[in-house]
Amino acid sequence: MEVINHLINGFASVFLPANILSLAIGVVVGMLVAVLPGLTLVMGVVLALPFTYSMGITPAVILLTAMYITGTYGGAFTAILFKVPGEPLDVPLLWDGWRMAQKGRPAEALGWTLFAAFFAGLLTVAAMVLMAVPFASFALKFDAPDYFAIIAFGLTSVVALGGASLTNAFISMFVGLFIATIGVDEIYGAERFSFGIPMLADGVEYLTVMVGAYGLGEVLVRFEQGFKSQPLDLGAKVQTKLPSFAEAFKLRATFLRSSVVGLLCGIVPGAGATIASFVSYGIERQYGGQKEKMGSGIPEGIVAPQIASTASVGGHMVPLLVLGIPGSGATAVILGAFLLHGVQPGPQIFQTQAAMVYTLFASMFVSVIAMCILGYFAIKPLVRVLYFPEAITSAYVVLLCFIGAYAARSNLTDLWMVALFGVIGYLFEKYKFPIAPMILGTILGPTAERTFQTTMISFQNDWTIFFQRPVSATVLILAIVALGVPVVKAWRDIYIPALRRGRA
Amino acid sequence: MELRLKKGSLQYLMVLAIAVGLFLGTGQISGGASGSDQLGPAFWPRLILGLTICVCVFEIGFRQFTDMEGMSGLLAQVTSEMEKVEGAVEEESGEANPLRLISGVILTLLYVWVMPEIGFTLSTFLYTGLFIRMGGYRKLAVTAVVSLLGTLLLVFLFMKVVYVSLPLGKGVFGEISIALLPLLGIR
Repeated sequence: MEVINHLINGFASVFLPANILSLAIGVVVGMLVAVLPGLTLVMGVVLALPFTYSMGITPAVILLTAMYITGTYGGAFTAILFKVPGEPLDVPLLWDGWRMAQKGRPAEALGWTLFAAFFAGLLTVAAMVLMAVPFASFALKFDAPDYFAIIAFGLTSVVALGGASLTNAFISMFVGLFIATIGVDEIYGAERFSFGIPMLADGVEYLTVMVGAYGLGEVLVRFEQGFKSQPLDLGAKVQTKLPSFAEAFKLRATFLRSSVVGLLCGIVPGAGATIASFVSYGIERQYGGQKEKMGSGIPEGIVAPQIASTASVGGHMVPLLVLGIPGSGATAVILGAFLLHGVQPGPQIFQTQAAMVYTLFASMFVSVIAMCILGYFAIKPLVRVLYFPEAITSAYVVLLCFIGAYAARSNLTDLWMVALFGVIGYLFEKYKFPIAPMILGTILGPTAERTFQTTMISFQNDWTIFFQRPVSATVLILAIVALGVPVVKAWRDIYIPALRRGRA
Repeated sequence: MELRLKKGSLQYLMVLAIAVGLFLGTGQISGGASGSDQLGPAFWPRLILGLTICVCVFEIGFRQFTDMEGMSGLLAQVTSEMEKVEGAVEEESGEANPLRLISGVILTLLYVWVMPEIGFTLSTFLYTGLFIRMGGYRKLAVTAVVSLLGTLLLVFLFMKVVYVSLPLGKGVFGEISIALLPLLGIR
């Protein structure tokens, strides 16, 4: 009952001018970012961050969250209409969405996407509201060893799930954790790796790492290729035809399966919208009622990835709000917004910032509705941004990267950091090192070290304490399993045969 | 016996060399209660760098004895399995031009370097125009207009709306920047 009262107040607060304006801007910009192939969802949220500096915490987080939700839907237009996935998570939409459009039914394909995004959006926010408070009450009992175990799980699952190469993902994570050690350490007050350079003694702002690697790094990759994009024919085919409830009801099993996959992928750090989208499509192909027709342009192949990617948003927001642990690039930026406004997410947030949290929840409901209204009525002007020259868009992406990093502390040395991490981001892209583990390592590194050192000091360097406490032991075992399964599988299926070939 | 490094191992060797150098450097980290049971401030970076060294040694060693690259994470496995069935998405991209990249990086570094000297407005106008041009966009008039209007819009947004004090520049450049502000409604 208390949750419902808070939520009603939250809805009232969403419609305050500053909040609703942030929401509207977030939905529109999120949609544009998702449509433009050169801009990723995370990049878009990163670039919006500096605009939130002068805002209050509530409109700031509303803006970024609205962009995040909308970003999981907007790319569907270009994937279905032009075979151009706006985001990696939109790739599975090509297999049935684009093929349905090729059969002369693009409006129907867009209608299924919209319906799926609407359903998943409302479901994920409802699930988030229901899960967050009990999870927070449970998390209040957590101590330093438990937090360390949870962070270790977050980092290992990012490595195990996301990387094209596990070794590269490990190195990326270690680079991030190392960056976090630069400067004066929190426990002993010792200066580390500053090499006498004053700007390093202050430590490296994780915002500069994020902005440089995600923003400037990605632009440099495309800059090297001369921003070549394929010409598009817009024609008069851009409209949406919603399915009837009877048609949608026939797909209820797909809706259920994909929703569960999306929510679970959201809760597991590192999995995120992209993996949810692929896994959901794969499950539908394996177990769906129309599995043999998947890939031929059927609604199940559109609904499954779209539901899963949108449903993952709520799952990601729970560990962010309740534990202060982001599981993806976009939630890492939202955590940045919280911290820049002096709010530390964690189990106490429901006591200390209840009004803000429930306004955020309510805003996510409204964002889903606004996103679908915008998607239905404004597709044509939205996809026209594809005509905008990428060289111009990218120039302003770089500028926003620099301004964003500078504006956080008004420190000119942060600009050098952005340039440095831009080059590092480019090298990471070039040599196929994933960026997300480095970013999460940089963000979670200080907390990981603090909780580890505190545990060691409190328990006389007895590392077995992590396996003596139920929560930390369970989570660490999960972390070991998360990492062990792909390693053992690859060792058995690939490494041993390769070693035998090498010897032969 | 001739020991030749396999293709693709160089990046790991470089990471390994840096990690070893930094690991040795942790000996200079001082602090913490000496003689106590505490792990000290060097423990955590040593742990990270030690694990980095282990991972690099494993990868280099493995590449030496086999003809394969490292194992992939779940996303890459799922993506490649799906793409085998459904067909890969061919990403439209131009040919990589290292010279363009190097000039872009130099341009960006120059932008950061001259910004405190000539101010945000002028440096941003010049940087934007040159970046767009070097990025392959050829319409000069559009480039000039977009650069000018975009720069002024950014100055207005960040100085008037977000209250960020952007660099004004030194000497005559500072005077020009200050003279420009009232024209944008910034006091």
